[in-house]
Amino acid sequence: MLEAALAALAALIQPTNLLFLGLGVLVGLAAGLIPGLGGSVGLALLLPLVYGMDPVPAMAMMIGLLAVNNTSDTFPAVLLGVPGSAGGAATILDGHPLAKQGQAGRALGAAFTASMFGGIIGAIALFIVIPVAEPIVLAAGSPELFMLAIFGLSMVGILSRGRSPIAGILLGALGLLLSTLGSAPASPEYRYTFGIGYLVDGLPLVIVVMGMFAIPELIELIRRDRTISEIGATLTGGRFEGATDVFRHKWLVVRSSIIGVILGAIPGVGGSATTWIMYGLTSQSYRDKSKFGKGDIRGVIGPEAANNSTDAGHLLPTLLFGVPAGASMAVLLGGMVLLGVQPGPQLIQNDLPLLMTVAWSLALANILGTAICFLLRNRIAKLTVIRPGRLVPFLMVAMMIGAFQSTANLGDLIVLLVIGAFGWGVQRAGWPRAPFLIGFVLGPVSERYLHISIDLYGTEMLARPGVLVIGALTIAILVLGFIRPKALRTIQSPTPQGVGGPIRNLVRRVRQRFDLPVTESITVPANAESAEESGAQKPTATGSAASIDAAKDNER
Amino acid sequence: MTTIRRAKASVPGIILTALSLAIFVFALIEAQEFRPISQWFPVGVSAIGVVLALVVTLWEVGVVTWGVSESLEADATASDSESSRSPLRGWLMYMAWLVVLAAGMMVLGAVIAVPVWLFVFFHFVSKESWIRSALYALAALLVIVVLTALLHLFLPIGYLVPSGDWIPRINIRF
Repeated sequence: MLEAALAALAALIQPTNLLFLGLGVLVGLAAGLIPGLGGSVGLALLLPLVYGMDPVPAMAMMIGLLAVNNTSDTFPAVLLGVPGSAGGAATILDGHPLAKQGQAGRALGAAFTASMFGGIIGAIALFIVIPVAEPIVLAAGSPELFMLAIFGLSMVGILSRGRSPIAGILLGALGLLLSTLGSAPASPEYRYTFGIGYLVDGLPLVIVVMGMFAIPELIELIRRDRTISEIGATLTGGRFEGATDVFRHKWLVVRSSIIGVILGAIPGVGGSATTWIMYGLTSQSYRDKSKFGKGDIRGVIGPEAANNSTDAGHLLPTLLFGVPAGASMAVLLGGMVLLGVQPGPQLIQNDLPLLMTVAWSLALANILGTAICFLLRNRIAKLTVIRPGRLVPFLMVAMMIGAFQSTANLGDLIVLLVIGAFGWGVQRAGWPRAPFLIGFVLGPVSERYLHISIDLYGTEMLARPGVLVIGALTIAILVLGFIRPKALRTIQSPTPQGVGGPIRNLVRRVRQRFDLPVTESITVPANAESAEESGAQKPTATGSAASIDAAKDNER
Repeated sequence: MTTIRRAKASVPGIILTALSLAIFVFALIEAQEFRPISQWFPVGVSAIGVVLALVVTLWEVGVVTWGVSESLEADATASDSESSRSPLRGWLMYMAWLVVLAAGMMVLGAVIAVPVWLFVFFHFVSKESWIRSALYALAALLVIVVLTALLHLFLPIGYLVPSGDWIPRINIRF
């Protein structure tokens, strides 16, 4: 294991690989900065470059993008009170008040430093978990892997936010069905191609991702055509004071990062839920909580550390079992398939150094991203005043040309537009898009595992202990989703009031037992647009309603 | 105590559910033509999809209210954010611009269509000046040429422009 780790580091620090890591970091910072983009769309725009690349630089680039996506989303969260991604929503509560008090530099410095250490601790967690999980992963056979894929899809489907409790699962099933289009894996025939040559190889992942996520988001961005910040922010001092705050609250960082990794490893629990849970836990773990919500630096440090460590958690089921924990991981999974890398037991058995490359890339990318944010904070802050009307047309062109790289066929453009229209319809219906993408990505893998399982074990596959356990968990999740949606939705409810109810109850009982002050609930604006209107100075509404793009978090 | 209340029916939701149901039913019927080994997965998924689509349809039209909670409605309301309330007309307009870009690339090729499209879009939609629009379009063309040469990108060659992709590829080993 140590040799593999050192070999991976030696490969990663080659100049070309570092260059691609840096490219991924830059794109990730930009994608996190602009509300509406995020990791999935940014990664989809980079995927066309992945074709034909070696695995190491390609993985470094993709991980570099995902690792820092949650670092730059702090800029709009602090400066304007609008999160760059849903994971940055909790930072608004204390980050934006700090900015209004003239301490924007301090808030950003603390956020960047906490993010960096969160990412590094997440990478360390990967290094620790991989050798521990190796025997478990290798013990999993095709039946267990098939059931894990179904479990992951069910989790994401149930936990994804939407109007109907099972709309997510319905879309997941639709994604699975769409993945069957093209040549069948176990027999020489084509399914659902209707004689159209373009469909023989199925639909390219890049086009599905761009259509479902990029088109609706880009159109929405340009439709609003509002700068994300009216502040021509020149951030002066305070960032090192913020960094010092992080060292002063080092155990908060460690605690938040570990919890972020654990929660991130659960499919369907996105960065938004993690940061809100951490905000709630952070605010409740101190006696003096009078400043939370009014500019307490701890309210920035805790969520930001958890936000970045969540990425490491997401990578665990994705890399070890091939079950993406969310939309961005589904895109990453698709990228790995394009590289010819199959996540799961085969990755551990045949290419452990590549797995280690992921962990090293996570650590290095977080360090690099934080350094860039520290050094170029004023220039980056100025990006928040770019009108979408100037930026989005370029992104639209990049999207079109990127889509064309899939098969160099004009059908790419047609399919992109059709799926884009579908993606808009899904968004407009208030349904989550992540399950569709995950179903599409998991479809071929699931079908292959199913065929292998039936060939090797027949009906006895259903009697295997692993299958029974995972199947029972899946059914439990589905039943909970129907019978107790409120209880299950508290995992995904983005407000501290709704999130971690059982945890808060436990804390309250402990405090009552030891005669400690009982916590007060924290209310937040109904969404970040309300936060924008209210200046995020005072909470204006109660309820478990979402912050802006919280519904998109699972979609990233 | 859970308060049973549901959000009002969503027309897009109903349309989407009906579309999903139609797709699953069609897929189920079409899959009967496949060999058995190729049938299992699409038939299984389609059958489950039909059931799910029926349940969601009943939900969307209000026949079923089971499983709704106050927090769920709040979630639904909150997830019905500005982006999901985009006016249809506005969305169609920008989608039409994308269709024009795609059509232009198919007919004229990317090297011609992209700068022309960008110029027109920047001036008439983004309300930029003529000069700035032209500069942005030229800058995009330059970036396309450089990236295509370095990364060996594929560019659409228009039907009307047989030699539309004149950009030489430079071999740089990564």
